[in-house]
Amino acid sequence: MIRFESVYFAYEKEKWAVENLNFKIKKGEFVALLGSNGSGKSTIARLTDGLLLPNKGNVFVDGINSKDSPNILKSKVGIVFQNPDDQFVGTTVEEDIAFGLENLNIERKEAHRRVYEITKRLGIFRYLKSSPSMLSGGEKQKVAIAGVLAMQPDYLVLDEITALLDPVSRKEIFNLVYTIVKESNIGVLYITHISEEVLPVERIILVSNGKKIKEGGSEEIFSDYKLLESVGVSVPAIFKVYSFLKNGLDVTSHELSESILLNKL
Amino acid sequence: MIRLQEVSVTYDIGTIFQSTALKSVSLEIRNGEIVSIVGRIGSGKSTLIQLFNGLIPPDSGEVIVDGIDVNAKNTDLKIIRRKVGLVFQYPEEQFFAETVFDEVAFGPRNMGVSGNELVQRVHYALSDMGFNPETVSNLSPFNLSGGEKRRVAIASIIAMNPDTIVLDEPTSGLDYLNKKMLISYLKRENAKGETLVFVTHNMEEVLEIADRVIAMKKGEKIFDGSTENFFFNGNFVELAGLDAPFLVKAQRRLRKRYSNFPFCRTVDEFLKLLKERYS
Ligand SMILES: Nc1ncnc2c1ncn2[C@@H]1O[C@H](COP(=O)(O)OP(=O)(O)O)[C@@H](O)[C@H]1O
Ligand SMILES: Nc1ncnc2c1ncn2[C@@H]1O[C@H](COP(=O)(O)OP(=O)(O)O)[C@@H](O)[C@H]1O
Ligand SMILES: [Mg+2]
Ligand SMILES: [Mg+2]
Repeated sequence: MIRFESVYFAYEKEKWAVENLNFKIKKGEFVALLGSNGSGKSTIARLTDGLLLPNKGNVFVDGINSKDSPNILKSKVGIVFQNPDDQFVGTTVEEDIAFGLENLNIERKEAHRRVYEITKRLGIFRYLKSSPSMLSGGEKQKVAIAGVLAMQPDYLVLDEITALLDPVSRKEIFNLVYTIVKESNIGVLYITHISEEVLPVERIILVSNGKKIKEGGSEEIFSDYKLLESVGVSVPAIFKVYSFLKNGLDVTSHELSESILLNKL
Repeated sequence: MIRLQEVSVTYDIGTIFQSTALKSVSLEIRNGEIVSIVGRIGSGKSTLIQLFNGLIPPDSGEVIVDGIDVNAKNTDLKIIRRKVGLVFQYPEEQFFAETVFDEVAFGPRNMGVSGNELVQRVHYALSDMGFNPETVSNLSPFNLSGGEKRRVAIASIIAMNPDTIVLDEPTSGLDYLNKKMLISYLKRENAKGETLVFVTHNMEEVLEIADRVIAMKKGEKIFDGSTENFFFNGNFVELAGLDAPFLVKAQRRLRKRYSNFPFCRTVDEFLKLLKERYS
């Protein structure tokens, strides 16, 4: 379990980028962290894998306090960032994914097997010998995700991995990640400022100015339009239509699909 | 007015990398319009708009701005660039000045504007983009937030007073509030008479503000017409390889049921109509 216990963090004195934050993520859970730019999301991501340590309060991963052992956290928590171009080390996709495994002293045969399996699963097997720089934005993100998943972390932090992609690739990447991690037992913190993306997620943490504003399912999070507007997060069009039609529907907001709603119109 | 006549562009001619980015594209941008250019990545959108102010020459065909052949030998490109201002994708990555004022003043200074007029131009460009010029002018552009940087970059084009502003994915990477703000400032710019052309992946933006849509696919223009026709008369969104937003799908459905269901640009407009007239 990832556990934030009254966590405070400031880059500059007295200016909290994260303030009194409490939340938990169990293994196998998919939790979304939603907030506008500057709301503290990336800071929370870095606190989760020990890249940053709290000024006050504690971050525990499987009972280990990040202050005692940041390196153990780094091995337990895999992280993927917004800009894929900043995260490649290998000259080919294969080398890039294998690089992380070598660092973990994984035996070559096993490393090979993992690279094969994960690239098949993510649909990037045909790019193994290509240079990551030649790929499209969406494919680059798949390589970055593959690199992290191959290390078989217990938890995964995905920090706005779709923010720079076009809507078509965005949906593809989200759906792919969502199904893959649901099949596994990884705990996921999925960070985004795009509210449409988190509709299917069962638990959403809404943050603003470093503070948790609300936590709950999409129904709870999105039904207060004024609150969302005030923290700079949009209400998805599909949710507004859902709210309008709700009485005639027997689905909850996270089971929402476009076709269910369209049939009711 | 901008007119492209059977324009083609091929990159890296004669090498193994040779690729045709535009195939015989003709189009017109008329004064006062908001035109959105859409298409998948690699469909030729950025190449297309770089032709508008002579940044790249076509391999064949003509680009005419207000009657001037942009690529004729004796054409002074400075004159064209005063008419057509181009805002690149992620323009803030090209910041270089120490203050916001100097960043925005760079273009007009290059055009020979100085003194009071320069200050005026910088100030109105900054206020057009929602800033208080007095407070922001002396800040470093590098210390602004992402949304503010983007607006300063656009102000630096507005300060050159072009008739047409062409923007390459102006909202990409911005969050909801910054997008909303930028869209409303751009709309206001258009209401003041500015012609706007913008490339985008975001179909909600197109639906909300475009008068006309030009859709590109593999270097060819596959649609050129009203925003309403783009979304509701056939399946051009899908033909262009793009995803119709939920609001479009919802309206398509209602248009099937009620042949005169009006064109709605936002979900709030749509729901208001449903409540008042169709429930
Ligand atoms: N390296 C840093 N130094 C100083 N301030 C920072 C740094 N990184 C982020 N901040 C500030 O901390 C706050 C939260 O930023 P961040 O966690 O990056 O938010 P988000 O990821 O939600 O956009 C912002 O006010 C930001 O300006
Ligand atoms: N400077 C360049 N050199 C070589 N090829 C390019 C260059 N710019 C674009 N291309 C190619 O031209 C095609 C169209 O690209 P572009 O106009 O950037 O499309 P879009 O903006 O729609 O993504 C693509 O195949 C792209 O790879
Ligand atoms: Mg961030
Ligand atoms: Mg482009």
